[in-house]
Amino acid sequence: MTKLSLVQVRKTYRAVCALHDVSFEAPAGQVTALVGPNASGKTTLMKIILGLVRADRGAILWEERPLADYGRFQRLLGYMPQIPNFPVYLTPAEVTRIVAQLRGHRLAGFEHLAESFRLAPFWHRPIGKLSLGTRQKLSAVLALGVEAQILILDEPTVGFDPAAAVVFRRLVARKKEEGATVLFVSHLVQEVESIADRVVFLEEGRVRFAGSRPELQARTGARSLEEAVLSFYDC
Amino acid sequence: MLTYELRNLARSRWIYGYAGVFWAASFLTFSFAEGAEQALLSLTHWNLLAVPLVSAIGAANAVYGRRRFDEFLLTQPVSRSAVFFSSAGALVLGLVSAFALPVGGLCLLAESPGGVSARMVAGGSAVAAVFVMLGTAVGLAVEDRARGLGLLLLIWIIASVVYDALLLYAIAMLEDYPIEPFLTVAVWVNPVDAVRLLLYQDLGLRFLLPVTLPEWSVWAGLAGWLGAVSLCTWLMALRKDY
Repeated sequence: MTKLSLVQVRKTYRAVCALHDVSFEAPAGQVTALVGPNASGKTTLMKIILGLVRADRGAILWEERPLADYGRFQRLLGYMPQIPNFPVYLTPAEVTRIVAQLRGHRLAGFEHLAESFRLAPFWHRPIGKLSLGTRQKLSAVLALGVEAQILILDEPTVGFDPAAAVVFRRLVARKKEEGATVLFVSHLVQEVESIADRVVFLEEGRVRFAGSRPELQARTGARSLEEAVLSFYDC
Repeated sequence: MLTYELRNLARSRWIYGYAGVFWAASFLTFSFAEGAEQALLSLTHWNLLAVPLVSAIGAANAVYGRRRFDEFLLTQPVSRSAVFFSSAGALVLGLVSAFALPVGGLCLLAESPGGVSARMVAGGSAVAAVFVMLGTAVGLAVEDRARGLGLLLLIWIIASVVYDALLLYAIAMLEDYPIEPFLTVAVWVNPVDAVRLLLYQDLGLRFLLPVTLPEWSVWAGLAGWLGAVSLCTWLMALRKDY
């Protein structure tokens, strides 16, 4: 079965250990939610998968092979950052063209997605003049518009209006049906409830739980996923 | 990517403000100075003070401002080198042009001595390029913007003010000793002073900095600085954890 595996991943910043030998699997065709308190190591973990941060040790495997062995492994990845930050004097159309050129994709796919998010009126305006929500929609278009086998979404719906959040969830569900491995970070437990098949709970750089929703509920004895996740927060 | 970087820079207002300040300073200097040579000397002093400061601070600010976009670009199938060279290249081209075009243009209009003007513009451009790369290096190395900009201010004060003051102090205090070889090296090592000396030599003002450097060695020193700082910054960009 195709899957993204993290094996004994460790990262230390000076004297602080951000990740303690983290291991878990994110299978293809499923959404894995990465949850945990602030400063639990979620962002560091995602950045290691994305190649933005080097792990001290451990491996990131895709189909049992180190991700780095895939040459330009970023071709496999789609990424939606928590804070959308694009050059303020460029337009969404120009930033999309950059990504399309780097990926060798056609623009039409991105433009079709932009229509789903009702971005057309903003498509040729400088990004600096767009609201945070509109920038977040552009970020979603760029992440979901690429032909990625692994989607990494960091707090993706922060800043979205309810309609955009619904569109986003529908598009993620479609990616999942197409067989993508979706890994997403969220503090919104209801969102985890609505979208996740699996949950990884990180605390102080350690995996406290990694498994499917039924496994999580069985372990915590909770009736809902929301209740189960919250039980880890000691509240 | 370089095209889009340049497009983004060309649409920003601050680069035109920067160019405008140089245009105004050159215009006023040529208008009020007594003769072209005096104007060039005043412009040299002003340029060698302003260019390193604005180049370094402007570059570092741009690096801090675009950090998350760099992160995003690096998650695309593109090498770190390509991202680095396109963003640093755009900054160097933008900031050097914002200095060289208004100052060079006014030198032409004022019919100032061609050789000296060309050296002043070329020297200022080389200093701008070195300090843009230095600003980029600090922007990559120091996570905290305030600390990074503070460090650059310190480097600028040392390179443009303190170093020169120490040289003049050494010349005054040790004039009876054979210090010229040491002074020559000291001037050559600092790109700001090397360009200053080049123009003093051109304008017949060698007594202001009593050392002699062949012109080729000044350009070689500037090229060496640019090469070394660019290489170090590139290596930092390759190894950086975002």
